[in-house]
Amino acid sequence: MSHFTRVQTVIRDQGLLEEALRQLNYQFQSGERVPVRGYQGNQESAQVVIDTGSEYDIGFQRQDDQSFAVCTDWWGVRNKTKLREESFLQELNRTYAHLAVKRQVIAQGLIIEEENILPNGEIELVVCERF
Amino acid sequence: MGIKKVRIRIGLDGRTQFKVEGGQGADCIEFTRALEQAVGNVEKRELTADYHEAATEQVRDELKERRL
Repeated sequence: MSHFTRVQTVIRDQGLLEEALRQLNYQFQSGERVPVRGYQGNQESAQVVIDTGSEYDIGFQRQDDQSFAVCTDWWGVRNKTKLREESFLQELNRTYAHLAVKRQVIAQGLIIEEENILPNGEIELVVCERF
Repeated sequence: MGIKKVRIRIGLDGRTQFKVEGGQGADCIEFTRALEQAVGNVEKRELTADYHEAATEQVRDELKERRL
C-alpha cells in the first residue's frame, strides 16, 4: 500500500446530481431558473429543485466555482416534511460519490472487482487495473 | 510491480477514503487522482512506507547510474 487519501464530496456534475436524486426517489425539476419556495412565499431560483411535497422546496444553485450549494429553508422543511438536513445531505453525498466513482471507473477503463455494503452502511469498492 | 488496486470506502459522513494497494511511488498517486477529483476535494493525503521505499530505491538507482 502506498498512499491513503480522504476526499470530501463536492457536487459539481448536474447529471450525476440528478441521477443521485432519482436513485433516492426524489421528485425534482431542473432548468436555468427553477423557483425555490421558502418562508412566507420568499422565492429564490436554482438549477435543480426538489419538490418535498410541502410549500418548502430544496434547491441546488450553481456557484462561481461550478459546485452546487443547497438552498432551502431547513426550518420549514423540518416542520412540514420528514426530511432532516444532516441525514439528507449524508445520503445524497454518499449516493453522488458512489455514482461518481462508478462513472470514472468506466471512463478510465478500470474494473470493479468487489462492491459491498458494510454492516455500518459504508460502501466499499475494490477497483483495479485491467490486465 | 503487481497490478494496482484501490480500495474505496464511501462513508456515511460524505467522505470517501482511497487506499492504493500494490502501487509504488508517484505512479500510484496518478492512478487515483482522477477518481478522487470525480468525487470532490482532497482533504488529506498520506504517503505510506512503500511510497518512500520506492523513492529511496529510485535515488539509489540514480546514484548507481551516475557512478557508472
